[in-house]
Order: sequence, then C-alpha cells, then structure tokens
Amino acid sequence: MTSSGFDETSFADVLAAAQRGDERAAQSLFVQLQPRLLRFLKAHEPRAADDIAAEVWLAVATRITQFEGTWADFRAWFFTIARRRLADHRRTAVRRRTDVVEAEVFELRPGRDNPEQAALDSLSGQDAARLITSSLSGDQAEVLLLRLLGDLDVDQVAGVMQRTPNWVRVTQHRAIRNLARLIDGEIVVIR
Amino acid sequence: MSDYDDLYDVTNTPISDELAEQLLSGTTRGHAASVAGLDAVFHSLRAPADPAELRGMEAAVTAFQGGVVTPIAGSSSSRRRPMLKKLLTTKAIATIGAVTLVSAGAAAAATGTVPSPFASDRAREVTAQHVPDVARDNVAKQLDDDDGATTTEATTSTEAATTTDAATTTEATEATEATEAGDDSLASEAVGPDATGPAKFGLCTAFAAHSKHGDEDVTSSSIDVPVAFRNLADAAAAAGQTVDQFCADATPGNSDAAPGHSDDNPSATAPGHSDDNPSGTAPGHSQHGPADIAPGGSDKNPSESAPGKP
Repeated sequence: MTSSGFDETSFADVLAAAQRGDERAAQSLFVQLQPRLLRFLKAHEPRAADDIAAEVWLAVATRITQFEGTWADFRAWFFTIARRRLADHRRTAVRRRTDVVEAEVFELRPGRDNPEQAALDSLSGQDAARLITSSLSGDQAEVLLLRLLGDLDVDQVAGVMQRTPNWVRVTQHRAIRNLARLIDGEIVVIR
Repeated sequence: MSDYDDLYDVTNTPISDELAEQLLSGTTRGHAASVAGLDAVFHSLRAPADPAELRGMEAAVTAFQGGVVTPIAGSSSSRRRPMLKKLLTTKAIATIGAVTLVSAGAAAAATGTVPSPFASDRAREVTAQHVPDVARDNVAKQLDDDDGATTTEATTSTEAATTTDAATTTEATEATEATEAGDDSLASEAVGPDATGPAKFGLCTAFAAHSKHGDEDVTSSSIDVPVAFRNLADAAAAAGQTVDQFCADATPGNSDAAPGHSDDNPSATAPGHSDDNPSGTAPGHSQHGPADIAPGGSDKNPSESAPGKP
C-alpha cells in the first residue's frame, strides 16, 4: 500500500497522532483502509459489510493505543480484526439468514467465448472483489483478497489465516490459475 | 479435478510464481498480455476509493477521538450485548453458588457439623438443645432405629398398654417420649397421668415391665425419669408406701379387683414375661441388664416379689 499510502516514517507519525485521538490522523487511516475493507467485506457479506466495517473501526479505535508496529503490521492487524468480525457475523447470522446471490454477480462472470477486456477494465473495486469470490473457492478468494486488498505478503496472510506460508503459496497459485483460466481463457500461455 | 483441469495443464503453460507475484503486486500491467484480463481485475480491486466508500468517516473519527464505544450507525454490536449480559448473569449466579457451597463446606469442616439431609427436624432440634447425655443417647437410638418415636423403653410401655389399659398407657408413653427426646421444657411441664386414678393399673403395669428391664431408678425425681413414673412414685410416697407396695393391689395377678382381670386375660402373661413377647428381645435389651437388680433389690419380677404380696 505504499503506492497509495504511508511510508514507514509517515506512518509512525500518523499512528502516534491517531493514538492521541487526532482527527486528521484518523481520517488518513480511514481513507487508506476503508475502501479496501469494504471491498473485502462486500465480497463475502455484501449486505452486512457496512455494519461489519463499523465494528472493525470501533475495535481499531479501541485498541489502537496498544498497537506497536509498522504500516505493514498495521494492515495485517487491521485485516485480522476484519476477518474475525466477519466470522462473528457469519456465526450469528447463519441460522436466520437466507441470502440469495445477487444477479449482477453472475453478469460479472465473463463467458469463455467472450472475455471482453473492456468490460474487465471498467470493473469497480467492489465488482472485482465479487468476481473473485464468485469464481473461486472460499480459501482461494480470501488469500487473493488479503494479498491484493491488504497488500500483505505470504507470511502475513499465513498469520492472518492461521495457516502455513506454504499453504498460502499453493492456494494463491491455484487461485490465480483458476481465475486466469476463467477470465483469459485459452489464451493464457505463460513463460 | 475434472478432465478440463487436466487438459488445462497440458494445453497451457502454467503461470509461474514470478508472474503470479507480479500480478499480485501490480507490476505486470502492459507486460503480460496473455493475462491482461486477470491483471485488469486485480487493478480494479486496488482502485482508488469511490466517494460512496468513504461514508461513515465522521463516526470512525469520533470513535478515535472518544477513545471508542459509541457504535457507528448500523453496528450490530448491540446484538451481542444482550448475549454478553446473559452470559455474565449466568456466570455470576454460578460463581455465587459455587462460593456458597465452598463456604458452607468449609464451615462444616471447621465446626465438625455436617448437615445431613436424612436427619429429621426433631433430631436437629434435640441436637441444638444440649440435652442431657442420657436423653441424647436415646435420641441416637431412635435415629438408629429409623424411627424417632420408638425406643426400647417406649416399646415396653406400649406393650404394656396393649395388654392392659391402652388409654392409660398411651399417656405414659407420650410422657416417656417427651422425656426421652430431651425436651426439658416439655418434660418439666408435663403433668402426666394421675397415679391415684384410673391410670394406676396401667402405670403399675408399665412400671413392672420397666423395673424388669430398665436401667435406672424410676422412683427417683430425676428429670430423666418419665413423668408418669414420677407421678406413680409420688402417689406411692403420699400413701406412705413404696411403689411396689402401692402397685400391689393393681398389678395383675396380685389383685382380684384388678381392672380387666380374668383367667384368660392376656395380662396374665405380663409384659416382659412372655417367651414370645417382643419386648423381651427389644432393641437394646440385655438379659443381664440392670433389670435383674430391679429397684427394691429384688432379682425377681416386681410383680412376683412385690411388697405386701400375700
């Protein structure tokens, strides 16, 4: 996320200010992380994403004074909280919910005979996230989303998902291959 | 893995780890046309924020400034609070119960008194009153017999009542039980039957049986002596006689005028004298007990060696 966010020095300043309750520091963190958080959550729970995001920020605001680490560490911590809140929501909602898949998700899936690059280029962030989750298994989608939205490396994803780094590598490779097969079809010829 | 998956690996060169990392880091754009679609999806995923995605910033900032706790709009955390409250309540009750049990157990261990759910209320009352040792022993016997109203002596009295005058001896039995139960106030306040009246025969019959098997001087004024026997002793003293003399004309077999007396009267086999009389083998009865040296120094049945016997 260094391309769109903080370097380590600036992050240290922002973190210290946010821990003091500084408004601008809090806004900076929110602008950097909220869009990616919402995409991550809407990819899994489109209807409850806003509620879960609110809980995540409450948790972050509550505990940020105890946090110590780098910007990368902060992102890993942030998405760990998000993942746990998502799990909490699913645990409590699974018995009472009948959530249908929205029609637009299917519309997003390109047919193998019509991989229109223009259509893919026009995808919004949330559309892209939902395309991934609707095309891959749960673990594969989660690994890709954490790596892409959280800018987490393999070891960090392994920590968030409580898996081994090797499991993450294998899973992400399968995810990319499956997604490439679906999106780019038979033109995928690499190396 | 389907047939298509198998063919895919044959007909397509697998994506290398290096390219995978380039895709994930967003550094392949324009350099990997074969995965352009995938690359476009990944870039879309990392697109800058849409204004709609930044709603709720004020609430988040407020949470930071307030050090937390006010739920942001739409937060579902309120759903968990009742559960947390319920859980805390349940745990609190369980904890209080456990502490109470432990405390009660510790107190019982310290005092050496462990409440028994099988002890009767009567026994607990008696225990709490520091009754005389003899009375406490009687209570213990009662508990051993699983019947708080039956003792050896009470049984003897009851037998006497059965064979003679039930109405009279019932009073004696009640008085006896009151004393045996260690109820000092009841024993001291009890009037008991009038030994000079119709109860004389029953009392004398019970006295005869008691003297044979009893282990205490029933003519004494001790609080441990049943009030009925004390009345009998008092009546005998008032007449200037011993109890045996006083009962001489009332004991079955010694008086033709004895109430209910006849040749086939069961009282001819006085209590304690029948071979099959349960009172002869009543609980706690000893063949070599003090009854053999009954009051008056006689080693015989009082009814047989009663003073004044013709």
